[in-house]
Amino acid sequence: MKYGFFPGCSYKGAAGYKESTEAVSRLLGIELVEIQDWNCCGATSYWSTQSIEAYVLPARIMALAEKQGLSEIVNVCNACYSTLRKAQEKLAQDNDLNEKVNLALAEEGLKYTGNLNIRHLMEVIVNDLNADDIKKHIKKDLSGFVVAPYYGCQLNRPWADIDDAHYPVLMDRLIEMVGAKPLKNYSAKTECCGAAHMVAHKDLCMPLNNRIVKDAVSKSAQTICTLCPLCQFNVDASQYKSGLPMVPVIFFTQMMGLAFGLSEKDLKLQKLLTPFKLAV
Amino acid sequence: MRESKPKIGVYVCHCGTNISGKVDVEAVSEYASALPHVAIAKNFKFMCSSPGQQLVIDDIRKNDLNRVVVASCSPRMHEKTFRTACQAAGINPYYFQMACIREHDSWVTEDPEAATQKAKDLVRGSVARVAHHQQLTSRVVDINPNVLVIGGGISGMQAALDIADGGKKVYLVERDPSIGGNMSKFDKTFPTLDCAACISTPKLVAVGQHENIEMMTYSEVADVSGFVGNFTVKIRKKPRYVDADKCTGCGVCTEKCPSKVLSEFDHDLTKRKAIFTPFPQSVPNTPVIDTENCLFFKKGKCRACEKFCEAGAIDFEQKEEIVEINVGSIIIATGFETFDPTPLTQYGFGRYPEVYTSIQFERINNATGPTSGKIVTKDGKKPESVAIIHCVGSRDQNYMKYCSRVCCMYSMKFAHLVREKTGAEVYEFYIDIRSPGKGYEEFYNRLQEEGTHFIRGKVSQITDMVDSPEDEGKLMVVAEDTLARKVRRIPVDMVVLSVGLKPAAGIEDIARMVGISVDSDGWINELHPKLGPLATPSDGIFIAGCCQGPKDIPDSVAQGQGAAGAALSLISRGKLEIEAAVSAIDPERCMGCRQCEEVCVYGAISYHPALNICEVNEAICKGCGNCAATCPNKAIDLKHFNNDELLAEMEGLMFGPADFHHGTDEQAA
Ligand SMILES: Cc1cc2nc3c(=O)[nH]c(=O)nc-3n(C[C@H](O)[C@H](O)[C@H](O)COP(=O)(O)OP(=O)(O)OC[C@H]3O[C@@H](n4cnc5c(N)ncnc54)[C@H](O)[C@@H]3O)c2cc1C
Ligand code: SF4
Ligand code: SF4
Repeated sequence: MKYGFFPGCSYKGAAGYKESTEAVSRLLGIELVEIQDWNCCGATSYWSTQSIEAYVLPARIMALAEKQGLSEIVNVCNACYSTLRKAQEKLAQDNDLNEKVNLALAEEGLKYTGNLNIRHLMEVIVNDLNADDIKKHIKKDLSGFVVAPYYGCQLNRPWADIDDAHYPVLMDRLIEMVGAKPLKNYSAKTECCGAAHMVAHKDLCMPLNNRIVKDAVSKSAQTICTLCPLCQFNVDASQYKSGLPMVPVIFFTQMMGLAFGLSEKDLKLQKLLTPFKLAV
Repeated sequence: MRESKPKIGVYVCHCGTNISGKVDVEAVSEYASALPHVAIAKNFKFMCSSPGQQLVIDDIRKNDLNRVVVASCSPRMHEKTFRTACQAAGINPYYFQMACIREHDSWVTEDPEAATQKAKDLVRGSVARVAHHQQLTSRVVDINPNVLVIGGGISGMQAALDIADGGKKVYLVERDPSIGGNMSKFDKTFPTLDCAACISTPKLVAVGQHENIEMMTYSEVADVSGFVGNFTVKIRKKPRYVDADKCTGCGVCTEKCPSKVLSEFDHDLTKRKAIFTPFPQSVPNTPVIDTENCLFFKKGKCRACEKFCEAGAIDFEQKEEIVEINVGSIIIATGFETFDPTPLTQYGFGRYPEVYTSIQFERINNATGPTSGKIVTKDGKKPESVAIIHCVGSRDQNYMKYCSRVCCMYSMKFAHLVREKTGAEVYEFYIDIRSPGKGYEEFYNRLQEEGTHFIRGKVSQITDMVDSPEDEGKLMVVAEDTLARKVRRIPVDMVVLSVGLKPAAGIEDIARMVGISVDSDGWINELHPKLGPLATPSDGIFIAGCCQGPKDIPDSVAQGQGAAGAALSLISRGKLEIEAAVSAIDPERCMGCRQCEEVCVYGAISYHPALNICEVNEAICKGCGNCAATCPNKAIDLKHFNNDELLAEMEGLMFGPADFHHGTDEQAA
């Protein structure tokens, strides 16, 4: 299966996200075609300015994909995913804005039509693949491995179309599919990690992250599984020197890789701040 | 059939200054006097007044008028008044036509000259039309004095009792095994806090014992046919598998039954048996066997109930029965059901054991409920703090847009009960407090004095994520306090979701069977929101209680009594006059294509296979004309709105007298 792919700025630097995504995609036969010459989507910070540039950034990514003949863009970051979708929605509603954005894009000979499907890789894996096509790659028994599915606050909001807005279950299903145990009553599933505010407002963001960690730890999860580089980094880094009980925070692709028998080294699990050691 | 040449009287009404303030009534009547066949044209201050009507009557008598046009308000206002005046003077009431020069003209036209011109046009149209009117006579039918009440909640029971006390026969159909409805589940009722059972149980008993009430519980309406005064209703009686005549209601069967399932009456808080009565005071107290959970029906063995029933009342051979009854009117009182908050995943209903719905909390408070009336958590502890969340599902664009009206009040009732029984802190999270009603605002004030905490803010989340160790094991209720302007996280032991009210499942089926409609939220549409709250557009079909929209017990009871009064008033008329302006199918022209049957929303047309023609039931026909417009063979004539009359009116409206093309003279002759 072939998809357009928007890596986003944080993907490459995130602890093993790239390595695990590539390895797992290869195994599953998912071909991710990277959009050429992509730029930063602007994420929540730029979006909140509501300036014309804030629309041009995501629109350019989508226009580039269109130029490449891609009909779907797969994201691996919740902020990228929601920024592209929000831009798409706004540009469809506002003709005036659409014209202005296209005027800017025209300088590069680009055109945005909006005729694209914006998706997240986790959702693509769960919805587009057969469970059996995933299960057949399982090499390691993770049945004793309790995983807290942490979706973050941006994946399903405001649309609530791919899953429930407050209590999603897509990743729970994925965890089950690869033979691990989703933490069933994980209440922090969609709590906010603070995203980029962690830099400027650490004091406000730390309690948020503590809740995400504590809810997982107190309910005996062995790891927290994430879908977004920023979520992973915040939840992982917030534990550093916190003095509270710690839990490793991995990417869903790393969890899949473990089940598929890939080594912790291949999946770059040693890059996590909170050390990971599979003990099942 | 017309007797003689048309001789028309035209009367232009001033309606005080409502019309004459804009329209030059003098000029209009003068203009009218020159129109074809007009013998007399006058204007008068108030045509609907007695002198106004007398003017018409006298003119008819003195001048042998045989047609009348009144140019005044809308026919909805006074058509009947003037038809009656015509009849009093001895001419057929359908020889009357009304020109609406108020609603359609003086009220909506700015320029007086244009308004006067329009009045002349409208009068001209009416004059042209009335010349073509035909004599019509309405039929009279008998009214069957029996009444069917659908739904045995407090409003249905009240309606049944009032009619039965009035000496008329009532069939009360209730689909549950017992009558009583939602009120039977409550402990106390707001705002007086009187015991719900103490006031409702006597009603249940009275209904069960009344000689004029035939109760049909565990039954549903399967089909309704006929029309006002003469409905035929098929009732599906589900098999109870217990012979009601033999059963003594001892309850041994229930005791011995080994199969347990979640209780609907206790909203899943307890278990009931496969053979059960919903609650101890059930009327009737004959149990029913729920075949889905009965071991004998499922697996072919058990029959414990049969073994232990001394009365020999268990009958596994019982079959569903269809009973046909005849009634003259029907009262729908199917009530409501509570909103299921599971889709509001942020509130964790079903996930956190200490999150309850309001109707569950009613059961907890009730002496016959799961905790015998004690307010305790699932592990038996007395709560130290309880949160009550208002507007769950109500006033929510995603679920129900409307306010459910009773939730603020019952929430405060709960707060009072919690404080009284446990002394716990109570937090009411509300958007607005809605307490209109006698003694209701006073109840709110009382609650504030009792120390209930009122927090204005919609709860965004209920979670077990606590921040400090002393809150471990509690639920945190997160809301923006919009008065204090800060986000609050309040730890509590129990949460009550004050869920909204929605129409009882199956209401559309009932509505369809009796030919009425429901609104976009599913509540039954009343005839008129102010002046016809208990009637429906279908004659002889009345509504009462929550099937029309959320309301409290006093309003439901009042409506039950109102609907009973309306039904009794209909019965006491004994006979019914049927509107003559209905459609008629010419059997010679009808080719049996049945297209008219399809378009008639009132179900007034039936097909005769033997003759291969359609026929109109005049008692049901509302004269809407859908069929006449649809019939490809022009076999259908809508009386009083036939082509002749309509074309004459159109021509009259569009052309001056000189251009009259419709050959009034020849045809009238
Ligand atoms: C939690 C809660 C607490 C409340 N507390 C109070 C209070 O303290 N004071 C107060 O004044 N009001 C209170 N109310 C409001 C009160 O419940 C209603 O006003 C009242 O019950 C309405 O009566 P009803 O007869 O219209 O409907 P219901 O009580 O709903 O009765 C309808 C009956 O019709 C039956 N039925 C439904 N469909 C069919 C069908 N198709 N065929 C045959 N039968 C059918 C049902 O089984 C039911 O028995 C409360 C409501 C709730 C939800
Ligand atoms: S069916 Fe028999 S055992 Fe059950 S209540 Fe009736 S009489 Fe008693
Ligand atoms: S006029 Fe209307 S109500 Fe009457 S039979 Fe025709 S369609 Fe039915």
